[in-house]
Amino acid sequence: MSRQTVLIAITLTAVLVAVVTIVSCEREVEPGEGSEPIEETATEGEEELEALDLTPADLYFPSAGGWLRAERREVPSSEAVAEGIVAVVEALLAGPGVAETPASGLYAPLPEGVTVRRVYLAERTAFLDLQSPEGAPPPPSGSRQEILTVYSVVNTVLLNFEEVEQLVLLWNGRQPRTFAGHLDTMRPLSANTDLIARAP
Amino acid sequence: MPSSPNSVRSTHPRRLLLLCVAWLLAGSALAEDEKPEAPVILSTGTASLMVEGRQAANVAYSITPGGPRFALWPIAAVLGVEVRIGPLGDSHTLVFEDRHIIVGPAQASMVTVAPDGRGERKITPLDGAPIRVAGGLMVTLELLERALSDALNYQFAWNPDQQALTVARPELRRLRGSVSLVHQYQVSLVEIRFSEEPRYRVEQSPGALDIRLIGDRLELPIQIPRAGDPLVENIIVAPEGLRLELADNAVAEKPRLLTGPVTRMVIEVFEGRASSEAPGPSPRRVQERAPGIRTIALDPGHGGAETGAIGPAGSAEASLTLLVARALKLQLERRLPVKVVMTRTENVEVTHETRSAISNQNRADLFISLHFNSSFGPQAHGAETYFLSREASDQRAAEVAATENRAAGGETNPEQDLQMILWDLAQSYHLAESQRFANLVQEELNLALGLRDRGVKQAPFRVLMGAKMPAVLVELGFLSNPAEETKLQTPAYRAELVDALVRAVSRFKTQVEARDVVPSDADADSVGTGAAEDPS
Repeated sequence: MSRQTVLIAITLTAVLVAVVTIVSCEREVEPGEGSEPIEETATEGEEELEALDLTPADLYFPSAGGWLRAERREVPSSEAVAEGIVAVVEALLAGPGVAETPASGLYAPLPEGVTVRRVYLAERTAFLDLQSPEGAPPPPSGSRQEILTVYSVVNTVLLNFEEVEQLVLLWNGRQPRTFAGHLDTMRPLSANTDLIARAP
Repeated sequence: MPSSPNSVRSTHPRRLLLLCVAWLLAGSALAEDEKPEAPVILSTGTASLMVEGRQAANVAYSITPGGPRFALWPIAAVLGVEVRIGPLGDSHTLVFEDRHIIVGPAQASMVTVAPDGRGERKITPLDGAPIRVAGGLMVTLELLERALSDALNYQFAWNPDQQALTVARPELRRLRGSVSLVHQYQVSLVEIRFSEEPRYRVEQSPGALDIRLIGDRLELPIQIPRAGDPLVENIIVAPEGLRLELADNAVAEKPRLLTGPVTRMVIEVFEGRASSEAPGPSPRRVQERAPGIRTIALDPGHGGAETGAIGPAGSAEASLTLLVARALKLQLERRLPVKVVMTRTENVEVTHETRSAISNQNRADLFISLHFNSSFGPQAHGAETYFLSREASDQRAAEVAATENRAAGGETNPEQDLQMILWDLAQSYHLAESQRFANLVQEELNLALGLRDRGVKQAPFRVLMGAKMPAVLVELGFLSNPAEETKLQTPAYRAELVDALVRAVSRFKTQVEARDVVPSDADADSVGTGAAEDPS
């Protein structure tokens, strides 16, 4: 084999290696099968981030016995207090982790469909605006149920966010005089720990 | 506006004596070691009294280690303030239309009283006491400013180089304002909002109430609420202040200035007293209420579209409360020497404010709001009696909430804000008696029905806030409990509830009329606030 032949062979080999390398590189960035692992990795990374952003919160659900009972749950955390409040209240409105039965003894404080419309802060007072489907008024109830409904929300916000001392409840953008005809909601409300059951 | 001697009503000798006694009392209120010793006079002289840039008079002064002192009499005369000297020659009373200010030698304080000598005495401590000299009192610059600045809006300055005491009015402030007027069940509420805290004085006369600004002026125009109010016939606004012209049967309370996020003056105007009578506090004030339980307000909870709790068998709280209230009225009037007024007699919606107003206007001595309870789940049962919690009387907190909500872009209802003020604090005067009555109600219900004692509780219940008398809210049973709902549907069971309530009222009436209404500390400590035990 002449020197020229060896040089050609080496050149061809180098070209072949380069082509193979280029082709294989092109395959990695192509959409389709090869791209799926990258997306999966990215998804796993997001899940990890989400997991890191969860924080424990005590949600105070009305109980069949007429008191509030705390259920510890993981809720999305946020550096912004208002966003954090939205997260815990949405979790509260979604209801207790166990089914709403007399056996579970815990209840969602408000009917299904009630959502958080807006949360804003003024110094250490939070304003929580709840929205009902089609602007329906708060559900009628006796005073005990009304107390449990209101303080379920108030305690859940105030006992999870030390930055907030008082809560003003709004309903469809307005500050109601009462929710069900008894409890004054024109004033900022403070947490009421007397309503929390001592024993499960 | 200075009160010239001619414009001041003649002083009854007894009133003058009363004022002097008030001053003497003020002096005695100071501990001996707080009384300053007679100051050393370093020098004396005569200064020019310059009023608004012109020399108005000469005034004697004395220089003491505590600063200069000036002869009171010529300064007061130039400024048109009458000075009355007490029988012993010590007390000097500065007479203004809306207040009397009493000062005296060696007393480092001044006493402010109402012109009739009644009401609260305000004692203002001073750095230096007046000195008595042959020509009368020599007073400090501080006393002149404190006594005359608020009343007449004068500011004083001493220029020792020029030997001049200058008196001038500060630059006028221009205040923006707005006026609102609402009427609700024989009470009208006038609200005047100011851009800054005004300095003012109030002048009441038959058929009118004047708010005169001191040193401030209102920017006009200000929109006046439409005519047609049954108690406030007209509101006249001028740069110098406002005048309310009242109907013949109306009387105005003294205005209250509420400062906070919004500066506002609130004036309640009541129906009832003929305007030809002397102006003064409304007869509805609790302090003037005759002792005893003669009139009872029964408040059937909810009504109309506001159904309240609904039991699993369909019982509506609003209907049941009306049934019980009617029966209770009958039994109370039959068995006790009392009159009963109802806040509603039909199944109609009535606001909390109107319920309070009906009770207050009828001068009820006791307010009972009747309710039936509900809770989550069917277990809870028994009766609960509530009286108002103390934090509920925090009017300022409510105003802050409304204002901040408005500032944050939230929707508010100005009329609702006004109504909120209308009945604020009313119940806070009666919490002790309300608690006493609540204990009796709960006791009778437990005894009569063998109900589980859910205890007396406190809550910020809105219907209790405006009641100007002892007031409780009774939850007579749980409609959410099927067994209890069945019993509550039975007339015989409701009659037992009524009997228990009549006995509680009877016991309370006896106690009140025996003047045994002051609860002990032990009573206060025994009140449950909702102890965390399963109540079902």
